[in-house]
Amino acid sequence: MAAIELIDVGAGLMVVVGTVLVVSARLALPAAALGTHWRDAPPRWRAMAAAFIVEPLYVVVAKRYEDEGTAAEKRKFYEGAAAVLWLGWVTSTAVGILVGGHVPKAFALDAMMPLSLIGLLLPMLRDRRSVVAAAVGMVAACVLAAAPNGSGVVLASVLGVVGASVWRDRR
Amino acid sequence: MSALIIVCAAALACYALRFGCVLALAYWSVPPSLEQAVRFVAPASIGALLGTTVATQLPAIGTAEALARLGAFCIAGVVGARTRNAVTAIAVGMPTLWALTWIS
Repeated sequence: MAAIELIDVGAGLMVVVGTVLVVSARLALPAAALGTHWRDAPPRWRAMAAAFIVEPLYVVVAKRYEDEGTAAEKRKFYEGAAAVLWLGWVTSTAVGILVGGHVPKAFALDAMMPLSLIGLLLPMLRDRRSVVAAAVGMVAACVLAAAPNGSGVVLASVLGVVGASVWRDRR
Repeated sequence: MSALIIVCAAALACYALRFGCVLALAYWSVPPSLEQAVRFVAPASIGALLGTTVATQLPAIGTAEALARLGAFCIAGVVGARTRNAVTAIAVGMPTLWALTWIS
């Protein structure tokens, strides 16, 4: 969205690419986290799999990577989750473009985003450190909401991880 | 420069960022403490996204609607915590929001 807005006002290549990198910097954390699980995966598979990394997919597969099972089984799970998410993403976007303009504002469909995030977040809060990570991330993101180009999300995510790590070290 | 080239370059940069991180962690060993911290990436990222969404959505609407949304989020949170199911949280949250908005 940031890229489209910049192209619309005639911004140059480097400005658009730089902005996209800043906005996408938040994906570095899930990508790095998955990278630790993919050390033995075939290079071509890693190259393909990296294209699908987004937070919701990471949330879905992160728990599977903590469970028992072979690396091949976990890669299959990732492939299935990525395919479902990608198809759902494209289909939902198409439906949104075609139908979104006709849905009355009273339906407040934009509220589905935070509701989905609440639904995704709660099952992850399995221990106190996970709660600390989420709480620090959430509070920091509220404080940093006005940061340019969504950089507040990146910083808040890092603060959440650091907060949970510090909490662990003190116990 | 055509918009298509800019969009392709932006997409390539976004992909390179992700693949670069995957490759970096595949070839470089990281300290065990950092590897353990990976477990907190998911709750921290989703918490940050939720915080940003709420902080940008609520100030843009009226007080009554903002309170209705907060109420719906809380109820959806309680339901989501009990059922541990995202779809149920949305299924309860949206009608609750509509009801609270209608009441307010």
